[in-house]
Amino acid sequence: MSPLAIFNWLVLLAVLAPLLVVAYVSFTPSNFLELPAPTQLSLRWYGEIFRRGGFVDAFATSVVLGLTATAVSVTIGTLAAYAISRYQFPGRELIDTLVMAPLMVPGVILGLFLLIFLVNLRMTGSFLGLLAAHVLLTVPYAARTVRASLRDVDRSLERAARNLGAPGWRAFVLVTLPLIKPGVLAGAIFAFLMSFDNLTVSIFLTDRRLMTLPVRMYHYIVDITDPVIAAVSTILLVVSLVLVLFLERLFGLKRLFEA
Amino acid sequence: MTTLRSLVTTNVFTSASLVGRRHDLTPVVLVLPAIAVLAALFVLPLASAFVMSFHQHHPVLGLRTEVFTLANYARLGDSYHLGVFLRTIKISGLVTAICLIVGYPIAYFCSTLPRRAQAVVILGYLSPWLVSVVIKAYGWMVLLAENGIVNGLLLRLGLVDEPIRFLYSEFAIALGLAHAYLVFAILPIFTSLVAIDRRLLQAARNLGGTRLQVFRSVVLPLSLPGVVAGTLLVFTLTMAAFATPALLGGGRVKVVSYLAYEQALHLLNWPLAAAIGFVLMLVTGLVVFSYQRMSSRLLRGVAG
Repeated sequence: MSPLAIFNWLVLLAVLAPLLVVAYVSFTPSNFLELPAPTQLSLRWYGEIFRRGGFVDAFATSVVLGLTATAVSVTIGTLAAYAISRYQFPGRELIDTLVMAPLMVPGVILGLFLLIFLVNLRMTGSFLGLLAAHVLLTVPYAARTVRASLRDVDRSLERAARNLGAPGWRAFVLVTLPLIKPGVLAGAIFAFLMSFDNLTVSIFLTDRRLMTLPVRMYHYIVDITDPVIAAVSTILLVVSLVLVLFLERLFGLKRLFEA
Repeated sequence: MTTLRSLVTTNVFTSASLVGRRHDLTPVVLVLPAIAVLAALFVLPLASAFVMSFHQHHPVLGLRTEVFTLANYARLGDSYHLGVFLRTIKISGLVTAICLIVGYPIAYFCSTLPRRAQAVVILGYLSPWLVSVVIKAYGWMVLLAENGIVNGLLLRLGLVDEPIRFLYSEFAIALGLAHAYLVFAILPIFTSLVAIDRRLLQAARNLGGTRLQVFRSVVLPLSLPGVVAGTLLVFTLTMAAFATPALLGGGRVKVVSYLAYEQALHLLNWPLAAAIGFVLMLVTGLVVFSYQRMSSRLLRGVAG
């Protein structure tokens, strides 16, 4: 093996190490994070998840929030993507930039500014405020993914529908939408992942009564570092791995980055 | 079938007539919800934070919106805040350098692999990006704690006599950030390396160039745009990273994003927090701008 290859595999090992270690620690029976390796494995910490500090509630909040935000952002993202890729109109470029703009601003800044905005409106700590933030966060991903799949649709099919007398919206619903369905689904999964995983924006907009799972996990490990968090993390690792592999089959991860 | 399709598609509505009709309000209606959401949730908060940054946070009276002052910005010039800004720039610069030095050889190695292997290796490097920041930080805590795995190994190998305090330091922050953002250096460099025309390399070899010469005078210059893009990505992302420095710095070693978080949520000083946010964007923008000027001169030099 060439030195370059050895270097590559060593770095890859270091990159994967913290993730593998988390999965490993979650199966230890002991209370702390020590080596040498314990002789037996245990599911103790998976059981503890249900007994400790609001992980289940936070998970429920995250799922409801993620699904609602995804539904909203996929709808408006698809409409905007369709308009941008199929029509010429004044301000088209500007809107294209504006839709992607939330990606250009770091999460800390977005969270901070949204918090101040909500302070002004006296709406801090509300689900609606959190939902608004997550719609903002996920619109770019939904719009971008749908746009990429709109690019691949054979336009002559749309034109044929129009020529056969279908009005614009019918051509969209009957021809375009079925053709871009995988792209819309991929955009929805991508948007959901981005919402479900978000910590930096959410942490500014949550409080004791309203907490998402990443925020709950953050506050938990600031206080305590026991393997409960490893068990939660391992479940999340598996879930996101499954979703990502599904996304890869459906759409191709490479295209998500190219678009 | 083909004839039918060409019949319906060639005349009447060409693509020009489909998209070019004047006074068609359809696109406006379609983009309206997106514009409304972005204006209400992006532009308005930006404006209200800007106004907020000039208000006053009174220690007793709290937020005073009737006051307009530059005091919040002036306060960021004191030695404490300046120190945090300088530390953040230092850590981001260091992490960017590490990501480039480690990422370049990896991107080069990946570009020599067959396509399928490429995808697998890149996915491996992408995996930290697919995992919550909290999980990554927790993984490093397990590895680096005083009774953690790394110290356990060092002690058993007899390399140290007592455990090293890795955590809650600039080192831990830099390591965590480099881990989280390495792939953002690898991907653009990899893309620019793959795009290099193989015939150029062949020609250079045929003209008698050694491997090293070919790399230095053909491969490296052609991959510089990827290096520049990777530098910008990693630097801007690390300047504003929050969770990794917060957890691995333990609130003891503070960076700018943590300062903003602390002011906004623990001390409820929203005006100062807003000012920190704007100055962070400004500083990042300035560094990026001067780097772009420098690198475009460099790239032109290479091209000429």
